[in-house]
Amino acid sequence: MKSNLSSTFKSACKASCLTAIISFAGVLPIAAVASPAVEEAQAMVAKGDLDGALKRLDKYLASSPQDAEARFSRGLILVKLNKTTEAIKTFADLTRDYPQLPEPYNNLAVLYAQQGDYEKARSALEAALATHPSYATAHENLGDIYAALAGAAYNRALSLDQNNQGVRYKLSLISQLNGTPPPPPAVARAAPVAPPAAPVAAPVAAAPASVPVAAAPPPETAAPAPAHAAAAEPAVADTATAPVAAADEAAIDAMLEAWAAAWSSQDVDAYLAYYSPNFKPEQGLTRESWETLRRDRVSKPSQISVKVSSPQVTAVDATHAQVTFAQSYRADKLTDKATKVLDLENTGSGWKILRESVR
Amino acid sequence: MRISRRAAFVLCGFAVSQALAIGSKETSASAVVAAANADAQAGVSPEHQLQIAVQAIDNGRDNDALKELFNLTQREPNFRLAQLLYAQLLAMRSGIADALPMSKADSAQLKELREEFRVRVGHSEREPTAGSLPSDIVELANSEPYVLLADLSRSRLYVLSNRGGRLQVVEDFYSTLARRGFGKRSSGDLMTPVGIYRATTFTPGSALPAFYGAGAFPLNYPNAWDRVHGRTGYGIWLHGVPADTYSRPPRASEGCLVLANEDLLRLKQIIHIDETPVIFSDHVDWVPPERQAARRAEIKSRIEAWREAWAKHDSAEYQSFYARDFRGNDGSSKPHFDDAKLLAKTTTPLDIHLTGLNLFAYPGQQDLMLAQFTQDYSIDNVSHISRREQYWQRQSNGRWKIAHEENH
Repeated sequence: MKSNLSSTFKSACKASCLTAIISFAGVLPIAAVASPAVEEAQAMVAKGDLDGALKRLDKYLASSPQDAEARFSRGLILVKLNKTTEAIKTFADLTRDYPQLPEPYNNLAVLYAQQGDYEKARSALEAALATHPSYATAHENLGDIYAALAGAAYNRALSLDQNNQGVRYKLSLISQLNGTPPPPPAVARAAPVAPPAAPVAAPVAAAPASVPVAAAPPPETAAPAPAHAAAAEPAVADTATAPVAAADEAAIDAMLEAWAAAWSSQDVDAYLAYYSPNFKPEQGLTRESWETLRRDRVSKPSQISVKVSSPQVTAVDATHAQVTFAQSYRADKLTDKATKVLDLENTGSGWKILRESVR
Repeated sequence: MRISRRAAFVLCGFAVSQALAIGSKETSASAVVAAANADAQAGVSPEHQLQIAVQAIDNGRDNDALKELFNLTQREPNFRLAQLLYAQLLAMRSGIADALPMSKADSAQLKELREEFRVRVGHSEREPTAGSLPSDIVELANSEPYVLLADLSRSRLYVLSNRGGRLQVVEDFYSTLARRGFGKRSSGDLMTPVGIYRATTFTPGSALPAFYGAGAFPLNYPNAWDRVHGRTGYGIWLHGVPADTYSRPPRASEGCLVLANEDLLRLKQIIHIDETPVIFSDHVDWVPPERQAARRAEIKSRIEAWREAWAKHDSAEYQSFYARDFRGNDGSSKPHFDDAKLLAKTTTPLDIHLTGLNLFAYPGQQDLMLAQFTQDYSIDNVSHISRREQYWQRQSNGRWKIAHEENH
């Protein structure tokens, strides 16, 4: 099962996981009123002393076995130490003892997914969202899990090589136990919010009270909507950060690379997938005739090489950006260098091209 | 709306254009596996589960569809069509436009799976109405507990039970037929025959290449009618599928009828070797049973008249029941009494009993009926029992006459 599922999700991944990478925080958050032991352990982690931090927490937990934050921190340290089985047990115990906290479910899901057990990951994330329907990271992870499961099912449908070691989804661990989940996505987009509020003093006690009553779960069966409406879905909650956050810039750079790679490998469908449904072709072409033209141009040469260098990203607003870069194009005998400008929008499935022009 | 939603889903391609909302019901992995087992125990067939899921998709209950497909794919991981539907539903749910790692190389297989979808799901919308019976079966002897009827135009194999002359569809299976369809004429034409057959033996899968799955029932193609009409070929079987798949595309065999392994094994309980009729029909019409009454009475009275002519040794009258282009099994064009020499010695009328009569409207052929019965008579205290097959054909003057016959 495990190895079966770790299959080729490369193409599914390229659009999505770029936006979803919230790297595992190197330093654990220092809670306002965390127990001194947790603070000490976090300081040790910051210095790279993982074993010391683990010992400190073990000692503390021996006398206060129910401290959720200490247990949560311990789980994160176990992850860093690659002690996955123990980490899973730690987070699983937390979900059992504190089912109202979404974070342990999320992290449990990430670990299951790392092991290739996407079905378990899915149940854990759905549980996280059952308690906190608006949890953006869980939503985003769940989207990736669904995509991973979709890819696995697809491979089984067509009996493709399941053991092909492809790129795994990079899911986001939540590195702090935060009694207050971020506000619902709709609110978040309207008024970009800074990083999540500081952890509350007593996360466990506070959690139930802070379940946002208003944040009703999204309807289970939305009416069929065209792709561009995906921007309204929870999956993009995280894009509501400050304009051109580092994560966005990295995502756009990666998207450029992937776009150029799809073009170079003449994978027309993958290449076209980087264009938003709202894409406006130059020279008054219709989308359809543009697409036909591109299909022809991209697939015809026997070889294409597209290189992208020195991209400059400027933000337009929370979900729109512009990137300028040097493009060097070589197809068969033709070579061309140009400065290209792409207008981008962040959709539910990553950054997509709205306009493409040469400066 | 019903159709278009499904069409967007499977039939017309794979644009994953919907980012659906995310459900929040938790189901632990063990609970769902238990549910999958429960389905199997409850006798819900994998295909029925698929229908339930499709119905849920049609009605916008995607969470139910997802759950059903999860259970189904746990239960039958090699049910590729189920995996594909599951993949698409998950991909939609992920909100990621290109979540499926599709490539051009997949298109042939995808086309086959879409075809299987069309055949399987299309079937569920055209199920025979309750109480109606296939017009192919005009009469079935009480001694035949079952008859198998393949509607080749719908890739469906029906099992009908016979309780004291009352027929009823008890099961029906998706089945794969030959690459070029049906209406086999010659060896290697990659077609499935149309006709009435029986299984000559059962060979378990263990004695066969893995390709045939759980086993095989070879059929007696070419039968008497096929041979008279110069149809050639051999090795037409009912068989299973290799272990790496739950089913095969609708048109994939070289002539055989292919079933899911569990369905093939169900047939082991049903088929009596050399007895159970296996009808391969090009198109089955389901009609009210009373619609058959007139035709049944007409043929039965002709058979009875034929029996009487034989019983009183009236050679001229006997021969009048045979068509002008009649050809016997031995190639003779002149019909003669059975045991003619013995019959010549006796003057008393024979006491001939005909029992176990089956009457079929022969598929793929206008105005042709196959009558099968057991004949039993004694001459000089020696009893003569055999199973006879007669092909009755309506002549240009409207009279039913015997075009071909065989004794077993």
